[in-house]
Amino acid sequence: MKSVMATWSAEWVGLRRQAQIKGPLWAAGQVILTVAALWLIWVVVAGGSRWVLEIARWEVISANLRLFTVGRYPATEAPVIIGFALLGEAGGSGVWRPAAALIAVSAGIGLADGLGGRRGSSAFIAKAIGLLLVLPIVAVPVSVFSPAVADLLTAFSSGRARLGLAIAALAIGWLVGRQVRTAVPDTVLWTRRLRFAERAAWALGLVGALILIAGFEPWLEAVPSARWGGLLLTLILAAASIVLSFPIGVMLALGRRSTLPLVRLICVTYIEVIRGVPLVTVLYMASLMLPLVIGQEIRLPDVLKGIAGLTVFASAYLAEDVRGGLAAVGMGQFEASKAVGLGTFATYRLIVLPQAIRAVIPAVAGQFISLFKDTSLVVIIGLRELLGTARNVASQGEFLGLFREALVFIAIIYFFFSLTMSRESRKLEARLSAGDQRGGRE
Amino acid sequence: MRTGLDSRRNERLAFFDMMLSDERGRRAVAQVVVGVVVLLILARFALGIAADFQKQGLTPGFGFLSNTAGFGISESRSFTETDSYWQAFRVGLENTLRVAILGIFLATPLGALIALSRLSGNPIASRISAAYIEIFRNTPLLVQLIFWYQGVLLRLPGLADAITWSPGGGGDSGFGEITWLALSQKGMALPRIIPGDGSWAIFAAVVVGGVVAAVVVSWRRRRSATNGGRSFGFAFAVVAWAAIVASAWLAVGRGAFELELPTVDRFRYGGGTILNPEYSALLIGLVAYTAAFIAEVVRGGIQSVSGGQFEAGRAVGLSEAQLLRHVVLPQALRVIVPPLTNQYLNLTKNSSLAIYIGFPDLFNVSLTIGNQTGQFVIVTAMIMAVYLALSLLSSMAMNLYSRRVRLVER
Repeated sequence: MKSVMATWSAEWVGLRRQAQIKGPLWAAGQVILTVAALWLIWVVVAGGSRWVLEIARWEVISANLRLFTVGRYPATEAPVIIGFALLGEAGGSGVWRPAAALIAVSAGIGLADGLGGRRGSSAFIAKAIGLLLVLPIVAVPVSVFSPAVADLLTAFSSGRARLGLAIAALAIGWLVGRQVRTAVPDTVLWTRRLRFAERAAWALGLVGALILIAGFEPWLEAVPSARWGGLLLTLILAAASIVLSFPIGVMLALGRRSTLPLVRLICVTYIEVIRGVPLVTVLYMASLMLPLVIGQEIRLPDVLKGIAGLTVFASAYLAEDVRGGLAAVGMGQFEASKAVGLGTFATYRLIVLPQAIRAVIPAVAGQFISLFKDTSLVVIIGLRELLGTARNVASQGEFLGLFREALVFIAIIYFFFSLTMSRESRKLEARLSAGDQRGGRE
Repeated sequence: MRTGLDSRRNERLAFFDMMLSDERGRRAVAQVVVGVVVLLILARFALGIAADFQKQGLTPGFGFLSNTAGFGISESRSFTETDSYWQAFRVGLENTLRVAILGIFLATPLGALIALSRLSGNPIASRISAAYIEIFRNTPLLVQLIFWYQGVLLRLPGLADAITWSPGGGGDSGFGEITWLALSQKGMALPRIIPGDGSWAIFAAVVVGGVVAAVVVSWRRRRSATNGGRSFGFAFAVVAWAAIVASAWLAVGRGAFELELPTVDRFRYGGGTILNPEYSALLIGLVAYTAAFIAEVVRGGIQSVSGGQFEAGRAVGLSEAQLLRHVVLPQALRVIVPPLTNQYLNLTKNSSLAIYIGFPDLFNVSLTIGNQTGQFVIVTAMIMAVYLALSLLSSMAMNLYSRRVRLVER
């Protein structure tokens, strides 16, 4: 609060000084601008708050909260202990597997961040879950102004046990990771092992979550991807296409710089064609053409088609971003690494790519954010992620025509994720450039 | 080394050894491997497509495009069900360009305005701009588009209670209320300008005026270069152009243009220019979204001009306008134009989201054609060809521009 006050008063002083320099005409212009801006704020805030507090019928969200979070993910029988922890009853059945997946991811990321000695993604997850936990508490004062909004906020309390466990898993993972980090000796070998453990923790969390969601016969009943939906599906689509498109993008970027004419030609054609056409056409092609390529006998789930389309699209853009980074690595780096006897592969893996990717973190993060937002386009192949759910919910007889409420709700979710991702990328960038100067353990 | 018993095996080994030990050989092997893999994938693709053609009894080729379409397009007055698929494709392309070009014309000034207000130094205006940029950039365009369409435009009152603006009282034409602007669920109605008999003279005057203005500018520049003093070239040019156009207008009299005002009755709009809700939603959505990105591009460009340039400009006695015109803009534009073109291209490509709100753009119409004829492969190839051509054209234009404005270093 204090810093906000300081900024505002500094700006005010600056304005007054500028007014002295630039004369009364400029000052009058600023006054008019200020009045117009205040009027605009008044119009938007007054109209917006009236809609949010009085007109909007938020019961469409609270009644369908499950559809918005996991879609039509089925209730399955839970093992005794897990059922007790997640559902509050031993051996009961309910939608426990997505919650368990969230806990697995939280534990993995917490452990990884703890091992790496940073807060990074853990802080983000903790903040997001914490926010959800606080919402029902905020509902009490809000109910004075608007019972409808208060009801919506209270609706989030149904998941509090699971969210609390996820935060606990995150915290425990982080503490364990940090303990290990401080326990091991500060040598090159152990730093490398820590790094490996960090990546393994990430991978374990994600793979564990995927197994929990998709199932693993015969131990865990399979849940077909057609039943995934809502935020769960949006996150799966985004995570899968980010994880897949990045290595492909890097390979395409390297291929584009290759000295082999044929390789270069193929990569350039791929990148330019994909970047030249809209994502809808690529998604549409993926849903239409993939069966032709892999044979129509195999029925490909729609989710895979969506992931394929998004990956094909994003990898071309990522390739261009990475190429920019490769161009920024000087020739001297190649020569030096050749001089110390590294081969081509080792040169790229150890010397060139780390520098190139570090240089383009903002661009790559921007690409990931676009990709996250672009997952909404998969409605065209019939997937019910967030947008599909919103559309679906607003066509239920009971809530017919409450599309606006649903759209605003999912827009807030998208906004939260995108904004946080861009903030985190800025922090990461700052941390890496600081590490550059100090040459710390990182 | 290799003096084994099996000479044929030896020969083979020697061949591989030669191929892989030699740099050129290694490269050749790598290329052949990559080429074969890609060819195999393409062949699988081609075979799949061929099998699909056979199964559906289709003949490959563009012949089907001249068949009768048999579907109507709500956005086109001239297109009827008896026209060919080819015509339908053309109408779709026109619709895409119609949205894209108007969208670019509207998004650019809006984006520039937001950027300027962001940089205005006014704490409130700059925070409003920042909030606008964050909100529109961090939510999916598709969600915004659907919100504009289903949440705003389709929620307007019906035709019977249309919001109208009729300065001068309006009146009834027998076909409904005459108005200047009407807004309802059925879209927006605006006056339409119909060129009259003498309109060619006005167009001619606009062109001739432009030429004269260019001549005047170069004359003033030369004069100011030899005699000193300010050239006022721009002011002279504007006056010359306006004088020529105005005199043509006066000479032609009332026959130049006719204004057709729209009418509103309980069931339909009559006359005027009608922007239906699908088109309006697409246009508003694309403009609002792209403007946020353009604002960031413009801001980056202006901030890339170093503070010393401003100070130096003021020190040699330039006015604020001259400073902007001669010092800041030329440098800022060099940074702004390439990403700006990229945004224009994005807007054009994003207009393909029209399919989600039922506007018949290129992609939507083509999909209908594909559904009716089964010729998805050819139709998809045509769509991709159009978008690729657009992006190639713009990148060519960009290269020309970059070459022109490149810093000439001594």
